[in-house]
Amino acid sequence: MKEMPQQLDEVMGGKSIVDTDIEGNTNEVEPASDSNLEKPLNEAEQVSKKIEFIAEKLGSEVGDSEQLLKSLTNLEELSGAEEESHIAEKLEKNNLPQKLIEVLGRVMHAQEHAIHQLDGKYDPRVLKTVGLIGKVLGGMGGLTAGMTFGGLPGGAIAAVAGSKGGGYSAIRVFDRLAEKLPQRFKEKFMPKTLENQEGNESIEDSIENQIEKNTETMQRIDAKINQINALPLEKRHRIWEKFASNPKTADIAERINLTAGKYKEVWHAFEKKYPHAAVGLELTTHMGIPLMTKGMLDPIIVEKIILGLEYALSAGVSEEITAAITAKLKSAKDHLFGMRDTRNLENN
Amino acid sequence: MVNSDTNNKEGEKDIVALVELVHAVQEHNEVLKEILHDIEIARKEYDILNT
Repeated sequence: MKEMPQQLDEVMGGKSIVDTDIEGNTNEVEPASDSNLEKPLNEAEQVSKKIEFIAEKLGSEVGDSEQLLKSLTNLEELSGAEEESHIAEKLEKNNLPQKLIEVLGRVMHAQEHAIHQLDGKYDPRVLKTVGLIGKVLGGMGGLTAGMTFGGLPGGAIAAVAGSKGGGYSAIRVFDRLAEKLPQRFKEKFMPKTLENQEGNESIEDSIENQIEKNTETMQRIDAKINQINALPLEKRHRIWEKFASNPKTADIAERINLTAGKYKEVWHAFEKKYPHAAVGLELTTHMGIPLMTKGMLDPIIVEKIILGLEYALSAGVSEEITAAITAKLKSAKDHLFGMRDTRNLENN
Repeated sequence: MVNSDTNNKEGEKDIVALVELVHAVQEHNEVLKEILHDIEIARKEYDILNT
């Protein structure tokens, strides 16, 4: 490990360490001081400390990403198409849309690799920080890129490059950001002919209210699942078996179905309002399935995503996308049921 | 939290994977800064050209 001290110095870059929570709030934290250590750490403990230290730095960088994306989306509205073209020319001259797509791709690959490499070895907070990137960069970054350079194929590519779990919250983000977009960009994401104004307002209310309620439910479910995922594998299996044989399971399944049902309404309204963005979101979620089915998350999450996708599909998306997602759904389901079979749950 | 059989080489791989991720996010942030900077400059240019 001769290169590590140099890598750590480079990573820290003289910046303060910031702990970023799931909501993206940041809190200053003190780095561990050597003087606090009562006895020398063994090699495994040293690695663990370094990993946690770098994860804190990662949390800080993700916090920076969020701030930058907020600045980007809080820009004052442009004066018109002429100013918009002037800015677009400048950005394209410096190849920035392409650069953004490339770095989002690199983040995606590095995130996937890190999850595989680190899963189950360290403090669960480490993996949680790594997972947060998908939410911030995939949800906000992908869609921001899609909007900023609206209409470029890169918009959809960038959305795909990001998140495994950000699609849901991204609906809310997109809806808010869309209000600030210049008309020309808006048109790229909206249907050619809109229903009357009253209809649009009612869709907006529906989206806002439903997302508000459903996000809380999803967050509660996710928090519980995170707790379970932090446990050793055997213990997780025992909980899963207990869960499957518990009569209350039916109630929980019913509640998940209810949430997914509400999601269907939200999706339906969203898909109607922004058909092109909906396709991008479909792709983002679609990309998440292979990651999830690699066993990094509890099958219940996979099931939840599949349900969400099925409802999304029933709300109607383009033919090619439907075919692609259906194929993926099939393999995800096979995997899901395969996992269940190994746990003797089919007969419960 | 580290498994007892995690060897030196695995630990090194873990650290490298996480460092690479930090670098990728840093690169992403740099591009966002460039975009913000270019937008700001372009808007100023536009104002000057149209006054």
